[in-house]
Formats: sequence, C-alpha cells, structure tokens
Amino acid sequence: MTACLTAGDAIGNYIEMLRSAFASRHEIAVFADRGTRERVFLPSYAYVPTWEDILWFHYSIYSENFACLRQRGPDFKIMDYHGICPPELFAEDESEMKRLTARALRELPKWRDVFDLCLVHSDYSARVLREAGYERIVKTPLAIGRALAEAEEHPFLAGHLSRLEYLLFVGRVVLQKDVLGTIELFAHVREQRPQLKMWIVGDRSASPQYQQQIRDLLARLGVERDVGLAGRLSDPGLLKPFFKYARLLVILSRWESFCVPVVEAMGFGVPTVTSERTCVSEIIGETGLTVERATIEDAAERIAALLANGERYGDLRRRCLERAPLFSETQMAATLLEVEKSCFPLQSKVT
Amino acid sequence: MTLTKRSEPDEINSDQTMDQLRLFVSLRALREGGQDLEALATVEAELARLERELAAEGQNVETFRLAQEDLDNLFLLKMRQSLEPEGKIGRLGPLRWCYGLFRRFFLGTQRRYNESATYLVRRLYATVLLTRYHQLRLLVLERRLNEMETRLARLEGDANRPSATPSSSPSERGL
Repeated sequence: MTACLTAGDAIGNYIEMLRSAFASRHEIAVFADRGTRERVFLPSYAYVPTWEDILWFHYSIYSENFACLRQRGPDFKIMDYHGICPPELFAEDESEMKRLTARALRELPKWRDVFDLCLVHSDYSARVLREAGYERIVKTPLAIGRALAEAEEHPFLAGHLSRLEYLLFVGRVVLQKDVLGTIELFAHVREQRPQLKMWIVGDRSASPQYQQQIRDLLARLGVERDVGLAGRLSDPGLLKPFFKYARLLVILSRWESFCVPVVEAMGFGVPTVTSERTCVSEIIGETGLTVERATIEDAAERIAALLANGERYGDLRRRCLERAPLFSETQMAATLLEVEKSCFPLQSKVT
Repeated sequence: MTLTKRSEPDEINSDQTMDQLRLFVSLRALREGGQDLEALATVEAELARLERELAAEGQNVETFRLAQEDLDNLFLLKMRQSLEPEGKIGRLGPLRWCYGLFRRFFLGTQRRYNESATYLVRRLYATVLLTRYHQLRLLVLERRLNEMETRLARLEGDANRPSATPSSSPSERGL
C-alpha cells in the first residue's frame, strides 16, 4: 500500500520489483490513495485486513492511507520506510508537502507498536527508525530495475547522446535535490571544459517558483543552450541512453534516504559526484567522488581533473560495474526471500 | 555491461546535437500530454525556425501562436485558485466571514475545476502546436522532395541527351 503510485518513478518501479519477487509464492494486491492511469490499483480505503494478510505499508509523506494503521488489526504489518524529507527542504510554494511531511515525521513514533517488521534501504534510515523507538528492522537495498537494464535504447537518443560529453542529473526537480547548485557546479566545470553539456532528467511539475529560479539561473550563467531539461522519462528505452552515455551523475541533494538513480548509473558504469554524506556516500562506496557543496569552485576543479584523467576515470567506471551487482533485482529478490523465511508469518497474502 | 566507447566531441556540433535532442524530448513530452513550459517554448522556437526557412524559400505560411500575454494567463490560471476579496471591500468583516464559509465548503471544488480546465486548455494548445509542427515539417520535406525530383529530372535529361560534339581522342588532338 502506498500513497501515490506513479508509473516510472522510483516507488512505482520498486512496487513492480516487489510484485515480481513475491508473485510466484503469494497473491498480491496493490492499494494506493492516488496514481497514474498506467497502473492498476485498488483504493486504500478498500483494504480489509484479515489474519492471513500481510500489509506492506510504504511509509513516506502523510496520506489518507494512514487510516489503516489506526487499529492494530489481525494482519501482519510491514513498514517499508522510504524516508521523509525534512519539511524545511520544500520550496515556499509547496506548503501542502511541508504539512504532509511534518505530520508523517511527527507521527512516526506513534506507530511503533502497530508494525511487526520494518524494512529500510540504508543505514541512515535504520538509524532514524531506531531513534523513533522501532526495534525489528531489516535492511534491503533498493535495486536497478530489470526493465531499465534490459530496455532497448531509443536509437535517435543513443546516436545523439553518444556524441556528447555531458553531466547528468536524474530525479525530481525540487529544492531538496539542489538542482540550482548542480547547475552552478556544471557552469564552473564548463569553464575548464567548454564542450561539456548537462542533462536534467526528472519531473518538473512541483514548485513553479523553483522552476522559475532554474530558468533565471540558466539565463544568468549564460548556459541555457548547454543545459537540457528532459522532464520525466517513464519509458526505460528513453531513460537508458541518458544514463549510458553520461560521463558523471551529479547528485548534490541536501537530503536523501537512498537515491535510486545512483545505483542505476552505477549499473551503466557511470560514477556519481555527490555532496550528500549520510546516504549517497554509503551507496557509492569507492565508486564516485564526494565533494563539498560549500566550496563549489574546488568541487568543479576536482570534477574537471577527473574528466581529464582517463586512467582514474576508467578505474572509477570499472569499480562501478563491479559494485552494481549488489543492487541487482536478483540480489534484492534473494534478500527478500531470506526476510520472508525468517520474519513472515506462515500462510499469508501480500498487500 | 561494457564500458561505452565515445568519440571526442566538437563544440559546435555538440550545440547542434543539444538542440536536436531538446526538440526531440520536447515533442515527446507534448505528445505524452506533458505541461512543461520549456517543451512548449522549444517547439514554438522550432515552429518559428521552420516558418523562417519556408519564407526564405519564398513560401509564406500563416503563423499561429498565442501571444505571450495569453500564454501567461493560461499558465497563471492554475495559480489563481483564490477568490479572496481584496482592497477596502476585502477588509469588511462580514464579507471576510462569508468568504471563509465559502472557502471551507467550495474551495476544493473550485481548485479541482481550475486544475482540470488548465490541463485541458494546455493540452489543446500543445496539440495545436504539434499539428502545426507536423504541417510545417511536411511542407519543408515536400519542398526538398520537389528540389530532388527537379535535380533528378535534370540529371536524367543530361544523361539521355546525345552529345552535340563527340569527344575526340587524345591522339586526334595531337597529344
């Protein structure tokens, strides 16, 4: 059960992976408060718990589906903790999101007796839950979807992107991801590598105010023609070439609880540059570059030096490919099977 | 997965490549019902370029585009979600109380109506732009096809025409 089911985003893809991991052994129904037309789901209020159900509850922003948690109920409840972005990291015109995240954070300790098991995807999330009083916590990293890895890349995009040298950002274009900082960093790197371009791939429907700030910054830095805004690409055949031909993925998020694009880029041998030290650094290990957001000129110098040093860059790419199998869908399914064997009650249906 | 082999990029070519990619993703976004301002702007710029290209070749086409003011209104419609009374009238207590009551019961409905209306109008405008783009592309391609046909006919004519003066051999020319 999730608040919002959108085809092609991290949560939508994850739910599909969960479905394929359990489909052979369990009957599965997906419930959501809202979702896109491409995905079939039942409304959350239609969920009726029985003793043989497992409620797999995706915990993120507050939503109407929290009503299912008000009673302990006879079902086995699993909290899949997605992480909650701190409310102060939303733009001024996203007051509703601020309210929903603040409420989800406030209510987090309240449900510790309701959930029988908690699933987290990073050490950071495990720490947050422990601080909120949760005890039975299992870590299962998120994975690179098979759909993306096996997709046939669009020939036009593949042909054109392979001719470019570009940095890539993938994710929602929102304040929390610090896209303005990413553009600023790109502009500094470009001073040393004039042929360098940048592609920003991700949903831009949130915060019109932030989108305007991005337009203003691009104009101020004079890089409007060098930065491409691709919007959300839900078709894996379109997204794949953007990853495959990128030189580096740049993630300067102010907060993350996992960041799926990092492992997706890793799967294509694309190293990540990040300034996020709690979670993204944990995921990338020794496969990327960690920079300081505060000293952007220095960060740009280091990126330019990395791009100029073929041997070091090639080494990072090889390390990415070596580490990527840790985040494969097969690995995730195997971990989930272990969790099922050790923690699930006998005879159950997954919701 | 193997490491991708890449060629050294050239700055001018990479600008053109970026423009082509930008147009591709914008057309795709509009086709899928995207409401992105940049996508609209990119397709509009391409329409203007195609119109200029056709005009330079002596083919004047009628331009269709919403004025910037109309476009701004279109996109501001979503933000104009409040009917809150303003100015001196807005400071009247009873009126504010009535507005509060109205807001409590009907603002959600009004917001949903505005969002649906904005979505439909934007979608319609995106469809018009896409249709126009395909019309202009068709005109440009037709012109190119005509040019190629003319050239082909000329070449065929040249090939079929018997030579007026048969070429003489080098020995005949005293070489």
